[in-house]
Amino acid sequence: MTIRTSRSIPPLLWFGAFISSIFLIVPFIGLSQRTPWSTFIEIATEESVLRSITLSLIVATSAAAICFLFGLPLGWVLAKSQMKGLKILRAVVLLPMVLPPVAGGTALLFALGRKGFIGEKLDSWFGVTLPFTTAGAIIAATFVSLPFFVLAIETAATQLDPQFEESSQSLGASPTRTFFTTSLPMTRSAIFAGIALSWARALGEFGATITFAGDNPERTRTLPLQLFVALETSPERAMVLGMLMVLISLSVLITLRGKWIGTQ
Amino acid sequence: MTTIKLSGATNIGEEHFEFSLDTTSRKRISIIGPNGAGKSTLLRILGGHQRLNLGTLEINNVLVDSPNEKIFVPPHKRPVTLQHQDGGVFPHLSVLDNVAFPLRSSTCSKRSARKQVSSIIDKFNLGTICTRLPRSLSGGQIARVALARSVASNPTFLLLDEPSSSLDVESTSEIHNHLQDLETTLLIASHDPVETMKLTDFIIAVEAKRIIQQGGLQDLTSNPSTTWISKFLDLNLVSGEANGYNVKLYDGGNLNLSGRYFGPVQISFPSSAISIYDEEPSGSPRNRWEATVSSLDMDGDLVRVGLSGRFNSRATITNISFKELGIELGKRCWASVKATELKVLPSLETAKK
Amino acid sequence: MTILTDFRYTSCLSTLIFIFALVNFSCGLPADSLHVMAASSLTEAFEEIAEEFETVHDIKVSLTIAGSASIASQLEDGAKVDVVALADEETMQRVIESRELSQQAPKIFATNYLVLATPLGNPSNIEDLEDLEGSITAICSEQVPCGKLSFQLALQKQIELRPSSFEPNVRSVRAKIELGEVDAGLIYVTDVNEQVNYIRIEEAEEIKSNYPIASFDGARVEASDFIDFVLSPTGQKILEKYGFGGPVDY
Repeated sequence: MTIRTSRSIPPLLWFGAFISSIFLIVPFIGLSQRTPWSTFIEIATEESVLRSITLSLIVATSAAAICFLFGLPLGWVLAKSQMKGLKILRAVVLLPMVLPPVAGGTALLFALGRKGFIGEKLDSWFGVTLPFTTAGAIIAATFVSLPFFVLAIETAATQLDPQFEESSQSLGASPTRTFFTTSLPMTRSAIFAGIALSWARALGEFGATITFAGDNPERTRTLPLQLFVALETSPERAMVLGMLMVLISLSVLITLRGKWIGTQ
Repeated sequence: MTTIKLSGATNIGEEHFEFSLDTTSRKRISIIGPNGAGKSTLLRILGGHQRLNLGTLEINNVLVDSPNEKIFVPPHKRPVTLQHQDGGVFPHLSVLDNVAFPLRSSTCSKRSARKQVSSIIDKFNLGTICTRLPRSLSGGQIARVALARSVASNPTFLLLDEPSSSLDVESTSEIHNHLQDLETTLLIASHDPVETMKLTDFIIAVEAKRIIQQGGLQDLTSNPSTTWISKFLDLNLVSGEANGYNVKLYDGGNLNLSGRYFGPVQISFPSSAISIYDEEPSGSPRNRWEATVSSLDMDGDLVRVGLSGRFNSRATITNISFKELGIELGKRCWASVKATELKVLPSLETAKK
Repeated sequence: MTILTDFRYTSCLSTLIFIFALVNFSCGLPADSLHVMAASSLTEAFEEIAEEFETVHDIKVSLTIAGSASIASQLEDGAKVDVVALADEETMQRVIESRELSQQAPKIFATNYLVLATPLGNPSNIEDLEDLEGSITAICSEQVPCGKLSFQLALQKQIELRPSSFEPNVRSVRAKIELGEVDAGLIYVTDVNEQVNYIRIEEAEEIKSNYPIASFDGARVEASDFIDFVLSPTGQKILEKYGFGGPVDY
């Protein structure tokens, strides 16, 4: 175990770190200054706001869970397989990260919307339509947060020293058993980091959600959508909602970071 | 009877490896060679972590790798355990669970696996640290855990990639003692001549990605086919009971040491450290003994002289002194070595004192 | 010592770059242009008006299009602007109160009304507002003028609107209709295009939406020229071309 010391950090880095942390912190100082703290509790506990909070938590948690279930295999395959064509897949996986979320939402509509080439089948065969439903919001959030998870897993799987997996197999464990008893436990901090990142990204998701899942007060109006509506009607509400998002995200990220991420 | 028969080739990136070997009836095998020669690759082929592109590999008369016939037996189904250079001890498992890992893999419940390895835990003296995680262990302890775990997998062949490369002298001799006690067939890739001579009697020498020579230890020491092999094996190894500055050799005779040691020890010294005289030398070298020339090998300007006497040894002298001394087979002469040239390797019991 | 000088040099340099970047990119608008903000339903009409205006007057028009509510929020936060054209009077009133800057009363330059739009072929057979019950619909969010107008209409018709989605502006309502994601939606008549069917509703044409235009203290002198141009026959003709009605009270 290495103990972190600050002595070995060159002064130049301190300077850069100072600039970037100021840059990151200043907007939140601005937000907290404008936040009407006297009405904070009142607004934060309004029924519609509470509903948005619940909805946001459901959407973000479901998205993170889907990322874990399906993003983990994808990240792993991308890291380990030598198959041709994976280079292209690797680029495609990153697309939702660079595309404006609205474009992602539009693409989702073309595929999974009521008249989309898959959505049409879903509708006619199963009577399932995704837009304007909570499931749609979860899909939109998953779409934009999946790359964060896949990337975290791919990096960890690439960096995992092959000697451990080889040892495991050499000691009689099948590849599947090796994956569950050796590879997974050894990358667990990356997995938790991936979950935290994708969860956070899903919580803040706006563009793809409003485009694909629309703004429905009961089913899809998550905190960011609530915030967007409030921004144009009542700036005071908007600030409270913004602060609320900051507090929720911060508390979750700090808990996760302290517990799982960064420290082995 | 355990046998590995390999005749095949493989590519790693641009590098081409070609190996051909037969270990019939040998149980203590060394793989030696310079760094990057292909020792690890050879072990990885045997272990199933590197596939052949061409040729065949048979383990105990079962074909396990043959690209032509589309046969490949994966690592976990081979009677082989490959222990990596750093041990490959799982950082997320306790010592006990590491050692129990092979049994858990063969569908054994956690409890019964833990129970079954208890004798191995005792044998490798891991009882006191069995709940600890590897990151809190010393290098020597890690090496013991790795070996205990390999033993727990009960392989017909145990392949070890430089098992003592990062260990101190005491841990090394501890591991060596354990290895000597094992029943299983050992294949040890080694960079340490002492390890090779002490633990094994059959040597596979690898150079430039092929096997350059294989045979018994005696064959290779007396007829090395390359300078690298001759330099590597240019070593005398004797063992005995130390008592202070003196050691009584098991083969007979005494040697004086430059330091104080007690108990069983192993002593190594290069063949060039031996001087040969016509008559009993007087003066500083106190380690001297009478010997008979038993073999002669010319190697350019150097001559390797095999000496038999109270203990067998080999000396390397220059052609000039060879002629001056008039050495020939069967000639009686005196040999000497300086105490400072002797390298003492304590065995486990000695190290503990 | 080298480390220290190196450090100073680099820190100075990076600070300079930082400041330079801020100064350079924060003044995105060309200094000698007339800044006009217009509601999103005015997009095409105002693009053409701006183009025409530039041919007659020696000044460039920089046009910002956004939802009326967004424009209002930006203005309340102190955004610089010469001319503002919105889709309803209420929002304009909000802006005027917050800025206390208007030189003169805003002028109504166009009117608009809602129609019921469906995807081409009207697959769900929507004929009137009553048919919206139980079907998938989208309307503008309540904070934008077309949303307010939609609710006014519902009140008049004594029906309850339960849309599947409140869209942030009229154009995204139309997009959802074009894509067939909804069975119907309420959009401005001016937003009707070849990709949607539309049904006129008698009551809707009675609740017209008035489009006000205004300039503020500190605006360029050309601001009043622009407003006059919009109200002139040339401007009105362009607006008419895009389906807007003329100002009722003028």
